Amino acid sequence: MTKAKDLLHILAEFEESPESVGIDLRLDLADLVIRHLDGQGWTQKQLAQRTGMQESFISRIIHAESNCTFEVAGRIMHALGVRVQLRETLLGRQQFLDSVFTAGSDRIPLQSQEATDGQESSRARIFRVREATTQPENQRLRLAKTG
Amino acid sequence: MVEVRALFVGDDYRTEVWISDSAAKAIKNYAGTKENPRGALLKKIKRYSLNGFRAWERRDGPITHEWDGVFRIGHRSSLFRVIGFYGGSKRSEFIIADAYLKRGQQLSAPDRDRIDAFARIRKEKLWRKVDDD
Repeated sequence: MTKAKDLLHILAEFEESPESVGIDLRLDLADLVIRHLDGQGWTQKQLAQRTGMQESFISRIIHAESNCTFEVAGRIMHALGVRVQLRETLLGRQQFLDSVFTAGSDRIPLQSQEATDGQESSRARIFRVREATTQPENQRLRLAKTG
Repeated sequence: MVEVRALFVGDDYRTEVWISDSAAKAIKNYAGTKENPRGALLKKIKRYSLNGFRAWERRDGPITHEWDGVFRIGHRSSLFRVIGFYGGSKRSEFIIADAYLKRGQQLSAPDRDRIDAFARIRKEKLWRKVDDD
């Protein structure tokens, strides 16, 4: 009989893998796109039109099921009026998620990035998306890696 | 009576997730397929749970209302579907009642019957939480 705890074992194994970090990034992007679509009152079709992309591709982004290049991500962020940065964090995953999901639109408190979790930090260096809504005349994508 | 066990439960989760054994079995079997390498779907559900399912509800997915309070979690790269409903009026818990591989893009009559059945289970609260032992 398969029970919930069996799934948790599968998930725990998966979360040790590099693929898991990739899924985290996809989910970060999907979360960001969905919130800004809702904020703008746009449909994914409207975003597709504004970016010149296929609606099906936008859908895959929203479902966190598509790889995309920085250029493509930049086009999407530009259309949504969002400026993003990649930042590196050595936080323990749960502590990090706490800081992400309890903060506002500026979702990664800088001071929290100083905290560490020995077990997690020795295992993973996770890049995350930091976002900031920009004024329309100042829309641009800035990708920066900070240590 | 559908029995469900804790999957993602605790203060960290904005929407706690409970799952039936049949749905857990289906998801376990799905994990490891080409479309779902070693649990990517589970990781997504965990994120939805941490964020709160409501943040991911959209007409075009990833969490979509079917009808009568029954929702589906879509996995776009396949026809695998996770079916469930909110357990309380505050939407603080989600009950994953079923998971299965659809046979085609369109909902079939058995698919619809399935959703109707879970709508009834939700409405009449024909489910209960059990310990994982």
